[in-house]
Amino acid sequence: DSDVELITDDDVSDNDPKEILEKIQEQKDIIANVRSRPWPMKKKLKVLEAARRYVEKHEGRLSKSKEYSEAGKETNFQAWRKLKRVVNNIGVALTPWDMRIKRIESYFGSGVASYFIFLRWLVQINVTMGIITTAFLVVPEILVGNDSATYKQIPTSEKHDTWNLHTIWSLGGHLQHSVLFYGYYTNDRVVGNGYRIPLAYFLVGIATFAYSFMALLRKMAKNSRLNGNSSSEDDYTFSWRLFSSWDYTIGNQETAENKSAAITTVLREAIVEEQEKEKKEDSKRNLLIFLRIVANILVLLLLAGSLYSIQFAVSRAQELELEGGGSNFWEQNEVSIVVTAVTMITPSLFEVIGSMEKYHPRNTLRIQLARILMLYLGNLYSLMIGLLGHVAEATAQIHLEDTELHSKDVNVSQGGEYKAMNNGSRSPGQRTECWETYVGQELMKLSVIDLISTLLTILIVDFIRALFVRYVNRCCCWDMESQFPEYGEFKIAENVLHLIYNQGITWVGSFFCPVLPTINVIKLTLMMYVRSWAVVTCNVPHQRVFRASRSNNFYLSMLLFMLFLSLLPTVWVIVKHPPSSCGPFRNREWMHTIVTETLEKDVPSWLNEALGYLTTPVVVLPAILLLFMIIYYLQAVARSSKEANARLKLQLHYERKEGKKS
Amino acid sequence: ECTYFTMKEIKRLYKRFMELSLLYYSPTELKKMSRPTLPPHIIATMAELKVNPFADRIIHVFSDDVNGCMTFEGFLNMFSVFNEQAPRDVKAFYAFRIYDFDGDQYLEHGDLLRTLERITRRSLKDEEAELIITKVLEEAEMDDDMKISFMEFEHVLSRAPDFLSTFHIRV
Repeated sequence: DSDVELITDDDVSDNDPKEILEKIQEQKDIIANVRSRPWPMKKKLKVLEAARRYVEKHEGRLSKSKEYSEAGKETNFQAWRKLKRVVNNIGVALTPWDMRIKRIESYFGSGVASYFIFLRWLVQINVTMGIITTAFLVVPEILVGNDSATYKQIPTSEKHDTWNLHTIWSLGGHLQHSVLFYGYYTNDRVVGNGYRIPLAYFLVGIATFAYSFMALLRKMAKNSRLNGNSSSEDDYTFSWRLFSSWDYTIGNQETAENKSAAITTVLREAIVEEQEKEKKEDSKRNLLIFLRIVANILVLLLLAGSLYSIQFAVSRAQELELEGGGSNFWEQNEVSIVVTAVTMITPSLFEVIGSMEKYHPRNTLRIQLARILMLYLGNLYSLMIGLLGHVAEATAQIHLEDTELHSKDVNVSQGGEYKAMNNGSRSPGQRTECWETYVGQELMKLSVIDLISTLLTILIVDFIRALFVRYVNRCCCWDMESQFPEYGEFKIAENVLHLIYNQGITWVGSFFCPVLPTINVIKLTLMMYVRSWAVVTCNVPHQRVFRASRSNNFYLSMLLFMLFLSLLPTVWVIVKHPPSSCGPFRNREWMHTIVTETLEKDVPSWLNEALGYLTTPVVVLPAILLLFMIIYYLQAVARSSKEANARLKLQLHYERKEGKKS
Repeated sequence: ECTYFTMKEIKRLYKRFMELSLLYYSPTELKKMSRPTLPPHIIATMAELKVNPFADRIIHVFSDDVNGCMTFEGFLNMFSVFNEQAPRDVKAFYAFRIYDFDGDQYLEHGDLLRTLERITRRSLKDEEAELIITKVLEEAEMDDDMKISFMEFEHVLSRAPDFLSTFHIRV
């Protein structure tokens, strides 16, 4: 019947080429969009066929005009779209652990899955960072670095035990003198066929940070755009939950049961929340306020205590080392073990404290997160300050012995900065000759011990506990599964923060230990498998399931914060601290001297001159001013559009209410 | 052109469809028929639909006649809608028809209650369910007739964050 309809069209518009063109366009639209029409397939096929016939019939007549080229463009467009689809498909197919995450999601809901998605994203970041460092640093160094240089040889005093387990464990011996660490890299300005390792080292250090920033910001922007699309607050909580919470992908009996249980919980929770909104604060306020104050004081005390213990451990380790001790296992790894222990134990204490405050569960989560983040930051920073302070002291002493001119200011400035360090005059330990390597070693050790302890806790706290509960339950007088030991719960907040902390270590350490990102990739992959296995086998779903999509950017902003803070020590080292007598920057006054040096020697003089002009105040000041102005302008625009947004939303709300009344 | 599938995927789906028809017809019977149709209980044995609480609704919506029998075209159409490339409004259109149990173009109290019962497997108490349905009606309602039309339904879903990712079947 549609055929007939088309023929009549044909009769009407036969004489007017313009009209035919329009008709053709129309039919083409139909062809392009037929798949998005909610018609049954038969009708679609019929319409499609008719439209095609029409187009074919009339295209011949008009083919000489411009219309033909348009058609060509369209097929091009289609091909491009097809290509994009293929690329998308490949991307989906290449995304690792998708099924694993899907499975976890179907067991535990989106909250737990968001942890794993975050983990996967971190792996991706680390892979890129690892590729950057490996391709531009490690491989060139292995290929063209001169191996014969004395600083690459292991000192004869250490030679007898280079392959001891103990030496390997403390990353000494061969490992210390390898591409793993800063100290090994060549300092010749040009090696092989013109590859400049020191410059590359400098640039790679910066590039990894720059890449992390970019990736993070892009992800955040994307997230907030997604949120922005659907941020009409909680207008439709219940409708959304009713209409879009069933996951049609589920194809497994058990999962389906879990899912419907989860939906029930979510709906119940929404009801409770709705009621809570209406409910007023109840009577026991004074007690509650008192409890909260006490809790905060306790938290502060704990923070201070943990910071102090790290400081203490670092300074003790130094003393031991200066006395030539540090031979047994405990003393060697004291610092890392103390740091790891603090990061493992204190969060649970925080949780206990948090439970006595009785906030709304979501707020509890937020506060808990903030506290743990503080703890981690404090840990990392006190560790870095301790290490760098130790380094500063040692180098200052070396410089004193050398009686170089500029060393005095260094000594003074650093002595001022680190009053905490005791200023006795001792002979510096042999490691401090190459303090960058030393810092790298410490951080890598920390990272490894952190991995081991995480695995151990998973094994003990989750697995053994689950086994214990499962098998001892039968011969016990109370119900173990629901009371005291229970099954472990998967704590999203702590785990995510742990990842962030771990990433922080990597960022701090990647300048001193170029392979750290690669190691981190391995570590994260391992954790992915172990965690997901542990979660599926021995954890129970969180009793309260929270929406994850909201807090996604929350995690990311914490990560951004971490990145910024872990950038600071590196920048300080590059800009403000004279390099030691090893590694790519030896014999240079500052690390950033390498840039000026390259500019002077390797860049054509006209470019150099141009750059010289660019860095004069005449150019820089206006540029900064311009940037400020742009920032101000953009901010103003953002503010005004936000206002407009709010007003529109209000209007919408109002209209809906009005509509209901009438 | 009518679906969101590539040639290969369509062929794969055709194979699936033929496998299913072998459960119902004998091979000789099948050869005689130019367009085999399948009754609903056969389609429902597919792994993708087996545990879906709306399986019968889905089949009903995409079937070609009143008994719920389905030809290959309908079958293909069904998976095309559930494909991730299908746009939101197509998905919303079919979602509406799935949730519209009595087929009167409106979602009213009874439809919502049945939807709710299906996704929660009747684990909610009556008053809880009542409360939820009142809330839903309150939220989605625009013209105060205590039922949700397709326009209203689409409006609600147009901003639902995970509708697109959940209204989706992988084949």
